[in-house]
Amino acid sequence: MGTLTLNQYQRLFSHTACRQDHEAPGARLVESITPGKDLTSFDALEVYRRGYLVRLTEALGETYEAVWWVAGDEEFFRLAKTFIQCHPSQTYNLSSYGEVFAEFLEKERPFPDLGFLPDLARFEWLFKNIFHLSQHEPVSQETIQAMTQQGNIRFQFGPSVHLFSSPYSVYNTWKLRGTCREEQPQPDWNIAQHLLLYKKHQQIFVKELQPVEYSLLENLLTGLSLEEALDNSLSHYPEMSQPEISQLFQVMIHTGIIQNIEGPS
Amino acid sequence: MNDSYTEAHVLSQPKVGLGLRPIHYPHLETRPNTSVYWFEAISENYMDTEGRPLHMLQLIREDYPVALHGVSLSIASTEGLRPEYVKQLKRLKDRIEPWIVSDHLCWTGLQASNLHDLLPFPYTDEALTLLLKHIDQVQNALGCHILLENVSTYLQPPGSSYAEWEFLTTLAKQSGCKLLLDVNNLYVNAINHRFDPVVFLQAIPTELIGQIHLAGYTDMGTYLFDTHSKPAYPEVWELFSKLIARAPDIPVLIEWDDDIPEFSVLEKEAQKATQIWNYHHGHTHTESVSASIFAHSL
Ligand SMILES: [Fe+2]
Repeated sequence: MGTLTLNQYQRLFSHTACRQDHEAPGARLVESITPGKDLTSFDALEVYRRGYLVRLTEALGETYEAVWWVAGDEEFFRLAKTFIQCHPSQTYNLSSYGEVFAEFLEKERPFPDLGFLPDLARFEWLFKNIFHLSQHEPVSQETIQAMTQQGNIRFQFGPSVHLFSSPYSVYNTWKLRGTCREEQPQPDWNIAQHLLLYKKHQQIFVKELQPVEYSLLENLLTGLSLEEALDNSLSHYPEMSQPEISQLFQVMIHTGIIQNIEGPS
Repeated sequence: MNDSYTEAHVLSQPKVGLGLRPIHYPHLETRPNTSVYWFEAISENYMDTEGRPLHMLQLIREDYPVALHGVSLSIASTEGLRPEYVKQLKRLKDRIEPWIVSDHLCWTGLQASNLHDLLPFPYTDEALTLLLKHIDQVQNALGCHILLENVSTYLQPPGSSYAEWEFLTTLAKQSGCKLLLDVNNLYVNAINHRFDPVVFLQAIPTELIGQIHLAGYTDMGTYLFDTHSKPAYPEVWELFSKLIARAPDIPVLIEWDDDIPEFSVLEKEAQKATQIWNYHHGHTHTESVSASIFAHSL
């Protein structure tokens, strides 16, 4: 048997460390390595294969804590193992692993009666990303009040400001993670939630909005001017009232989500 | 004893640091008085964030020297360096102005299937040539020297033509990078691969060592596993004592990554390293203190 080049060795090793349970490790590698202390060659390679599964499972568990809570240990570990085997990590940063876990859950449907799991995973991925976004300096209440007198203004929101909506009670479920699963009454998953996520003092806050508030804020976040956003939302919610609009503005001021305001051009 | 030696001897002080871990943020945010000389931060935890981790690292940097210690450089990979990784590391380095930038002498997997592990490779001339090229690329891109750490391994790949310590020494001498000598990893490998740890230790010229790591392993029965979940073992303290006796100015770091205890427990571990340093280089030689560390640190 000829000597392996470094590249051949790394390919063989990598393939062996990621292999599925039923696959045998590459014979050429098993025969050529010298196992440590009292390990067999097979067991020495298993140290690396087990470590790979453990590390990636931990990374998924850290990001998808609420999915784990809903699924329970056994099912979450099974799901994680299947996911890891079909989705090798291509990122250098372990904490960025698992971006497509929601799509995987959508396809896998591990619990046919828990249709909200993919949305819960999407919420957790968004939450993780917001955690790493910068904290903006909100404009003052006085500036907002002065600018709103000027008519058709446009708002610029902080980079951490995001909206999330789901036909399921994703946020209520997420808040239960960390509690004892057995002690919780079965939550009513089928309540739609419209959420505003933002950062203040380096902490993430989640605020539930009414559908009409969500619609207006969604339009403003896309960069529409105040007039354009109102027109657009009114076409979907003709019954939208002045108090509802004022209420949303109170929320925008109170949460400090506005980073800048542009006057009419 | 000549004058310059005396002066250096008097000016030396133990430089014992701790790993910065999120579990201790709430404590460190209050900016307590600590006995810690410096902190080591895992580069990847801070290079892709504008959030709280970065904010915390900047806060720590206001009060302490900081080392950036990476786990994903994969400098021994035949696929080459990831340009986006090096770019992010440079950005973090410019923001934090660390006193040390380090990573591991290993590869971590392939870019299409990253194993996120510190993987062994054969100590050959082929690997040496590849590493010299990669070290040069990283050092040029970062604009500073890097330190590379010896890793714990559970198997020996085929084809090595150097012993581990020969390879480390040759690499450091030829590349201009320094070594981050992890004394725990050295001991773990000595047991796993059946060599005398003192031979390894004495083969490395101290001027090639830029930093020391101390940590605890787990005895799995059939092998020693580098878990960083316990205090350092007496055997590791003894090796450290031999090393620090020869090189008082090398910064020392206590690593703890799993089952992380309260900050005060880590400070006590750091104090053990300081006591050993004092035994060799302090004004008063306290033999009994040093002896008690080796006896009770299990
Ligand atoms: Fe280390």
